[in-house]
Amino acid sequence: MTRTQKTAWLNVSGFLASMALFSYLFITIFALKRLPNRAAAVVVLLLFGAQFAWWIFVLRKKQSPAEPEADERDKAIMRNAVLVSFLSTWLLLAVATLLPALILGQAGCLPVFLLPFINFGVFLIAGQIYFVAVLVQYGRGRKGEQL
Amino acid sequence: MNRAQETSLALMILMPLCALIPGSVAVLLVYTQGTHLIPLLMFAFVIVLGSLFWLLPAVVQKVHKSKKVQSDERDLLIYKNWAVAAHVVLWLYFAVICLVAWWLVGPEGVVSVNIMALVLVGAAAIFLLVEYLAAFIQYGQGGDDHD
Repeated sequence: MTRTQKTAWLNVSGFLASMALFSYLFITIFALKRLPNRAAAVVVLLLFGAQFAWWIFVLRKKQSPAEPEADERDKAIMRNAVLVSFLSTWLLLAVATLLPALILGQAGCLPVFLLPFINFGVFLIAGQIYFVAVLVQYGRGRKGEQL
Repeated sequence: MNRAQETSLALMILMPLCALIPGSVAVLLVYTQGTHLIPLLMFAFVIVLGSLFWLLPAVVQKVHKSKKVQSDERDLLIYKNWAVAAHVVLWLYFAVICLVAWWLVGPEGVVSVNIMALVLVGAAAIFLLVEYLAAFIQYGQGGDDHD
């Protein structure tokens, strides 16, 4: 596994774990109207810490001392992933801007505090699309397809 | 001014206008007359122009890979730089829009969904402007065609 691939796995797994944690917190606090269980919170935080420490260890460990940081193939994969991420940014921004009009109608209004959340959400998803595109391309490369 | 710079300058003026005029007219038509096919097509044209046109050099290079040389290494480097610059400015634009909306209507305020569509049209125009401005500046740094 190359350094780029490891970084992509670290980000995707961290993002999914964070989403699971925040979904749990959101549902507990806003839907069930109670505070999260303290013991469960400690266990989740410990699992997060363990995952983080594991990935830091994996990132620092090289397959061999001669392993480069990134070769030509890694650079090509990253370049394609950036293109996909940029394209997805546009599509996500278009959807995020037009979806309220479709849901609320022409006379609808959106609270202004939601705008930074929409932008930040699009930013996060575009970032994850970059890492997923990296992993998909490495997966294709393993099957012998041309990048 | 070399030939590439002249092309960039012309596109820098034309392309944002191509996004702004039909986009604003489409939003106004939908606002005043309701949703029809023609304004929606105009709006879709603006979004496609903003979101997909920057991919054209990469697609052309991919299609003509084995045929005549369409662009050299310097063109590709300039293309890469202006794509990154335009996307960075796109993010800054949306961040500024969030702050300006917050500042204008206050934290408890609301924003009309029609404004959101206009924001997207503005994003397409600024994106195209930055793209060709960056190309204009970078082609200018290389000197004349004779150098």
